[in-house]
Amino acid sequence: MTAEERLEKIEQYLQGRLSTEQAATFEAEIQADPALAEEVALERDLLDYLGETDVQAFRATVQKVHKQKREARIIPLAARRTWALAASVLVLVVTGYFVLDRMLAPSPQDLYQAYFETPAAEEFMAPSIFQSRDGVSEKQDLQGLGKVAALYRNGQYAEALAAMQSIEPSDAAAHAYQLGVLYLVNDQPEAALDALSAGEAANPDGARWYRALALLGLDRPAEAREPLEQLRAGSSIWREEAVGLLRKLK
Amino acid sequence: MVNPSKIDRNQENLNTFFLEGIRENNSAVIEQIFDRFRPGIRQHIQRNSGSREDADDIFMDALEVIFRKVKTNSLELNCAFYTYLFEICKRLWLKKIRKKKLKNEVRIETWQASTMGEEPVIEMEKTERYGLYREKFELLQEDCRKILDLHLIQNRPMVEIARMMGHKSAGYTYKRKHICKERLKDMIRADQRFEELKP
Repeated sequence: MTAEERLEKIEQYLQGRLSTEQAATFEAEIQADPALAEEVALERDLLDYLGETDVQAFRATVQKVHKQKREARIIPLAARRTWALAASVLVLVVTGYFVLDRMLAPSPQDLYQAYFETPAAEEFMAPSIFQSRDGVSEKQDLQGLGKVAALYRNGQYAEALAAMQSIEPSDAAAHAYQLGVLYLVNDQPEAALDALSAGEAANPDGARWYRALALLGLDRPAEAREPLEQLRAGSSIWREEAVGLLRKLK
Repeated sequence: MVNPSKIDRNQENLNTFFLEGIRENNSAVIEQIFDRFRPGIRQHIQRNSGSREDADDIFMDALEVIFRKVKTNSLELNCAFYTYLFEICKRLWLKKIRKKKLKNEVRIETWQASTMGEEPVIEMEKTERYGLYREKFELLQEDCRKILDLHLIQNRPMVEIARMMGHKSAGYTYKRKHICKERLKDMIRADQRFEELKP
């Protein structure tokens, strides 16, 4: 039997095109020949994979959304550049190259919008923040945080912020940090800035990242550079993002 | 799909919203899932030796696992959707890094079947294995992909495929199909993941 004939036979078998007798004979051959059995298993798998048109359609949608999200970080800035470039042709005549250079840069608010992503509850309300405290107060805090987390997971961000504000914590820094992130999620960068500064001891790198974003949201890019530089010098999960942001701030 | 006795009403509604959106392949819902949940998954994987790209791949694989579960109506959730998604991402990532590290170094926690239903083992394996097939299938020339689709999925006769592809004879199309399929299988077998992902 040639390789082509063998492949044809496997296809006929898997597609149910063999007679009952032929199928039984072929099954006996499969039993006796491990290489043939492996070949049939892979063919069956491929047939199953190629036939999953619904899964492939779902995957295509997921990849499309992923691509859109990735481009969303670039397109607004690129579009802005295009408009800025057109406008600057006129401005250049009057004010020269300095103004053009300023217009080409994305605004701090653009960068804030592009870089701020609502974090998962577990990421900024991790119980590990409370590790060093006594058992009773830790338990009380965790009960309060449980309520905040439940509201937050349901997308009730304003209610989560109110619930967090009502907690009387025994660890002020941890509470301030979490409050700061919640203010930012609720688009209140000014309040976030104060809380994050007070909460830096609880999560230094997290506080630096969100403080830098709050400063950008408040149109204070020069001040945002310091926490970003600190993140660049470190090895936290925000380092890569901080490097990208600093490049765009130039 | 969602057991209302164990979770509150609000959460139940949200679970239904996300699971139905996935089942219906609704891009607006999928977009919301990306916005709400991907940052947390990214942070978790980046804190556990992964890159942002690793995290995105795992996140998309986990959504595919959930799609496979919901399309067969075999998902019973007594927890928040995010908890389930997060747990699948964790497992997919641990499986991936376990292959790179010493096996004993990475411990996979017990699956909480009481709240998350049966562990989607088959769906996770299929997603990983079929991901390899997809990767290799996309490397085939366009005519190869088309011939395999027309022959194996749409079950069209060779004569018709030859006509659709503009080939001179069905005999040529038959040979071409054989070459394409062998090329696909060779690429799959040559990849070291093939042995690891065998069922």
